[in-house]
Amino acid sequence: MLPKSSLYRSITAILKKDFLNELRSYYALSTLIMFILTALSSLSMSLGGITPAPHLLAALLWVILFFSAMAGLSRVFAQEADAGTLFTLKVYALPQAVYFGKLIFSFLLLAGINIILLPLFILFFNIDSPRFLPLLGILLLGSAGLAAVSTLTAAMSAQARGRSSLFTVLTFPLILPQFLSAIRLTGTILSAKPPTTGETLFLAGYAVAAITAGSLLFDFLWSD
Amino acid sequence: MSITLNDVSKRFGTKTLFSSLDCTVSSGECLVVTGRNGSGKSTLLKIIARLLKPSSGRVEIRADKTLLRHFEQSLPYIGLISPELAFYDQLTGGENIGLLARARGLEPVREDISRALRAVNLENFSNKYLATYSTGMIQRLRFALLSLIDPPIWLIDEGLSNLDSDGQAMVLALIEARLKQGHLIAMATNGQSEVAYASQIIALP
Repeated sequence: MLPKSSLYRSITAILKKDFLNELRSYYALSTLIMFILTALSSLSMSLGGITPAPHLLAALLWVILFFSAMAGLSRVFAQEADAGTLFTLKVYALPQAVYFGKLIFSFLLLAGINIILLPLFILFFNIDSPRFLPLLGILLLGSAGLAAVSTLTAAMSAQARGRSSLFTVLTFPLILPQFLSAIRLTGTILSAKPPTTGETLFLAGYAVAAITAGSLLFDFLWSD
Repeated sequence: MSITLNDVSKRFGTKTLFSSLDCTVSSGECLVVTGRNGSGKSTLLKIIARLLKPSSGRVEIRADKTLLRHFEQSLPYIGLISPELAFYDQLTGGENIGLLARARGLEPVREDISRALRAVNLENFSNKYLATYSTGMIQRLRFALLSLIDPPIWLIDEGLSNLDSDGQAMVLALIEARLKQGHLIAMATNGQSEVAYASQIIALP
């Protein structure tokens, strides 16, 4: 059993490596931002300035976030497989550090996207008196679960043929309960009502369960 | 440290790569695996590193008297380099080996990284992106990584490939020095200069 400081050092090394790689290539970030801008502008133009009902707005917001995540997060492991560095990580990195390093990287990437997406969404859809912080809080909570599930499914699909579609097909059923709950909660906040405790706890619980299950399953996935 | 192969066999579908391999190597000894292309030399090293499972038989790795049963237990004791081992093009040579050593849970300081690069004559390329490295320099960087991590078991697959005569002499000197320090080394090769270090040879059919 390795000391905790070794695991922490290993996680930060994986995280730093991914950030340096991303800052020097902008691959995932540019994909995510381009997807968000394209989706927002096409939806906004097709609705012609009409502001949809809160629950429809919430569904649109989460659909954009889900598909932008599908476009960008599969790269977390696919890039390693393409460059041949997946083998290097298997030989030299601690498996749990790979999982948590990639998970934190995906979450931070999604958090950055949320910070860009939310003001643009409010602007494009003319949302009056938005409750920015509760909305951002729900988006971040949902992103934690999405990052946990997508890290596991990205690792599963990294070496498969047709991995982009496989990644989405594997991720969607696993994320569906959280997805529906996040849409309901976001709709409630957009209706200027306080978020319900039950739904908020469900989102938090789902994120914790997804991270725990991902950590337990990753060693089997990684060593086979 | 010791590695014991007990009746190890590997099959892919109906094709048997090798069967009934038995041997024990200990610290300070060198196991050399020879054989024609496609005979399974690299596969055997991956089985020893626990990256692949044997079709039958067992690989036992012991640290002193303790049997290391799982991949996670044996990982800190093993370093493998092979032509498959790729680095990150967007990082410099120094960043690559430094971050991989940290990913192993180690804490190398700048001087450790410089020393490892100096040992393979790459110190002046420490801050150059990997995309600018030649294949020979990448092979030297693999040995720099192994020197930096310095696990007690070194698994080397085609260690002399892509190296010039200076590079080959440097690698052989590194292997000799580590054997004297008590490292256990297993090499997959057909080169006579590496076979000269063998305590035991497995010649695959």
